[in-house]
Amino acid sequence: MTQTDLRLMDALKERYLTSDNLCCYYEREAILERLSKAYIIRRPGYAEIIATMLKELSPAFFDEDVFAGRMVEAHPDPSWTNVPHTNVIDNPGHIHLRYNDILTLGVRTIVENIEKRASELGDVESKMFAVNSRIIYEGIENFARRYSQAAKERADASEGEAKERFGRIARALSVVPMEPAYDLFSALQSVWFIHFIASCVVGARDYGFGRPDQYLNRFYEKDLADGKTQDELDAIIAFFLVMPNFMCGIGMYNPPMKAIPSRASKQYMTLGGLDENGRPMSNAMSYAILRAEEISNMPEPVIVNRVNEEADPDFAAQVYSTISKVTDKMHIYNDRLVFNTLVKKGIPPEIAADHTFSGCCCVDLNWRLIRNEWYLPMPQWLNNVLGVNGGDVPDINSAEELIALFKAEARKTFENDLRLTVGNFTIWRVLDRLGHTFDGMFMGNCAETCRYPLEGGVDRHLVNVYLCGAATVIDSITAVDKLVFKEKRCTLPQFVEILRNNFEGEPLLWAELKNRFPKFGNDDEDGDRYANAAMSAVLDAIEEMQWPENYVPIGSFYSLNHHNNFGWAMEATPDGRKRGEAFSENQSPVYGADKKGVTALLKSVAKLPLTRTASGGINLTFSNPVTPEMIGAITKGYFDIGGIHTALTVVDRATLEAALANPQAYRTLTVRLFGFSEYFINVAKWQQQEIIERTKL
Amino acid sequence: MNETGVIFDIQRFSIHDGPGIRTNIFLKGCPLECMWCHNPEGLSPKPEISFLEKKCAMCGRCAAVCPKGCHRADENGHTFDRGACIACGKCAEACFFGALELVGRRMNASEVLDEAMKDETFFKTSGGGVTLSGGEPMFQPSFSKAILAEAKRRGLSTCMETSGYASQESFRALIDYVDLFLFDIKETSRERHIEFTGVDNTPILANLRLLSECGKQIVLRCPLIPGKNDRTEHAETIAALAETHSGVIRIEIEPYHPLGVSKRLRFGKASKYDRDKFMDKADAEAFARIVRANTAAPVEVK
Repeated sequence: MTQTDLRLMDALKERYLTSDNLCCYYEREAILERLSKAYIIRRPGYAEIIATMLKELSPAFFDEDVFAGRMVEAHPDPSWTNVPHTNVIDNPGHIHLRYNDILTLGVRTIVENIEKRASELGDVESKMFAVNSRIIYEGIENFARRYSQAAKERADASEGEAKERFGRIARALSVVPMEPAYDLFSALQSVWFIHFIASCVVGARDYGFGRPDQYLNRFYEKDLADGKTQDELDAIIAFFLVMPNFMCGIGMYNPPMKAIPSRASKQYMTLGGLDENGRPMSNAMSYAILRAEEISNMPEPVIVNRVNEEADPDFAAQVYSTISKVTDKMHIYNDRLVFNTLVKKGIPPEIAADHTFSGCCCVDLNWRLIRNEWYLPMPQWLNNVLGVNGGDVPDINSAEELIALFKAEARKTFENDLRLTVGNFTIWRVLDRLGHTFDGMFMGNCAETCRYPLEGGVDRHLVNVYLCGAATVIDSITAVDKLVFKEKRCTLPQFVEILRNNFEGEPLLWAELKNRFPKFGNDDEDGDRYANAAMSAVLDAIEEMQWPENYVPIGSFYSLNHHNNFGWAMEATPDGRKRGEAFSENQSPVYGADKKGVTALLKSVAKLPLTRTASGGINLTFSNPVTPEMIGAITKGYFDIGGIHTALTVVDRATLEAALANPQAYRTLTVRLFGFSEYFINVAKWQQQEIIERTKL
Repeated sequence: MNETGVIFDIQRFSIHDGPGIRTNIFLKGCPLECMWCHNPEGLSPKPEISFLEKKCAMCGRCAAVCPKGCHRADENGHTFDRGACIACGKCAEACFFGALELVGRRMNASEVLDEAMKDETFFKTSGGGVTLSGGEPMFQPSFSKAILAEAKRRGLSTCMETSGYASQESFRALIDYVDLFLFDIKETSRERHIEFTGVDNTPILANLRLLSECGKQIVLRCPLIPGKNDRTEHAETIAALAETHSGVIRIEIEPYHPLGVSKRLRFGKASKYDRDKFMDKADAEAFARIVRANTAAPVEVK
């Protein structure tokens, strides 16, 4: 980084940190407000709405911008009642677009191909798909041309570095995204422009960048061959990595969520991995992105690294090195474990090898599918079968019988609630009918089939079934087994009555359950005994169920933030958790239950049937900096015994408490929240407390 | 293999006591009584009760089970007559709130290693192994030797953290089973060493020479105690030790931390050095600079 680059980087970061969460994307909302009133006369089609916005939005810049693509922000007009406007325009996001095609063909050729294909197919739906694609293309081109012109005007009015910087943007946007990219900068500008339109204009959260090392490497290699230096290119990438932060707002809870469609957008990019034959796919661009991440070092984008140290030790070493510096902003997934699960689920190996991750910690198949996240409260099932929530207490005498009932309850939930899951996909269906072409142009096989995602454009619907509260369930089964079945200190109905009463009048039993009963997370036989059996039972229930055609259900252990909201609404559980308390987070033991350090914790977690899962994760919080070698040793050791994921935060309790007392002095302190990083001072009070209470290793 | 001894903790994922990820085995009993001791549970060779009053819920279960009537819970709070305690552990067993714990248990070497081997995977990925610590492992020399020999039989890397205060015969008996010694230099002046720790450092320095002459690798670990040993002369003498002992591969300066102060209260031990603040890192760095100026050995502030 040159001194100028450093100055620009600092200025951009400062712009972000001092941004106003009460602002909205003013022009977008004003246009949609106007159009919503025009509905009375003539309701414009979806494509026309998008194109209208693209033709009217101002080409906004900060003086320090290296890439073009940001929205005009201001406080909303008090007369507006619907900010941000999401009806019709909004979509579920959480997808990756076909960036390789955008960079190789350009959007103009993509649209021309759609038109040719529609003509071949000849039916009305195909033709409408093509007509809508053309309308949107014209909007994209108009916006890019106007941005290019605005950059040229800035270049003409500037001297020196700024003249060159804005000149570079002007040249790039006169070509991309309409035509193929011609160097790394234009490729990144093209990606950013489309990502920015998808997130901020069309408006949705959690668009991913797919696998940028795969689709950008040829531009990177070409630039190096053309004489650009590694440092120059690293700096360009670092400026690209800063941009996604601007479309999130500065917090989800404190201050309140920003009224923009891309609020709190968690934008994942996936690096590395092996191909279907086990050959490393990391390349020079993978390393460049990791080096650039060390420079930008901001919460977005979330970088997910597909690691297999045996097959690709150099990439693994770079990942460990970068994580030791940026800590909570990166993930590591066990590449072959995820690949194997996907193949076992019937995904062809070459597609499984192209897997990606998107917000939050969800596996997907790059641009090929739409997917959803289905979060389910396992401790609730256990309480249901025990009768804690009312009804009969079962007449059972062993943990095995309890696990069988637990499995049956899981199965019942899946069958009863599947309609809800299908319902989650219906928003896509509504959008399809309304001519939802923007994403359709760039995802699945929509362009080839001239069909929207649910009408044949996408082959698979991946359902990530996220099972929350694993440790709470495991500890609870252990508690019932020891107290009732083995030691026979009370009957099951008596124990259930104690739970219904939230341990009222039973402080000693509560303390014993909480502090003296075996707990998951300490690598001991007693605490981990039912980890595999209970969790395998739920995965079996998923597999034994009849799912709609084209659905790919994958159970994984992950809770995002739902261990809190599920727990707040739940009765006491047998492990000593009282009514309304959160239950265990992600794959972690109950906070404070693991007392033997990170290796014991990971050995316990590896007893879960993780080799049947494909995502989810565990947060490891260290009090002191961890060396790359140590990160490598922990990760490799854990993956060798069947671990799926590691992500670490380095922060001590004293620092967190100091940040609570003096937030402004710690405004750049980041922590891993669930599957992503956040500024600590901007998360909700209850979450700050949760992070403080997490086990520090 | 059947040799037994008293352990007060087996700590997994230790990353500061030798290379890689290690399991630390803390042996009970120490012939020194350092003023600033931060492991007071390691002083006595016998099991004992740790009592943390703030966790007590006044449930009275300890008083009900104690055969010697050591515990009393009444309007004056929970009182514990440590003098009458026989460390049977019944009170700790009865305490569900973590206020009472029995510290120290007898194990044999095989049991100790079975526990350590749980992290074999991580030893392999990190180049780690087991570290004997304490207390003073040389206070139970034959048990230490049995653990180390068993660790070697199982192919593990071995370290020993020692004050060096033991007979030369004891060191000679186990020297072949130790890959790296973490050797404390608490004070280089003989008189001050006696004042601070209660023992003469002459045998310690003799053992340092023995280990070095036997070709062992040694890390000098130097606790730095404000107002006690943070003298220029001490820094220079530490450096001189590194220069005159070829086995010394590194010097680690360990700035004082106050974590032992409250811990001592749990064992009913009076505090002889009750500074409650962490040592200023800059002061420790200044001391380290003097050491560095006088030796070619690497010097780290931990």
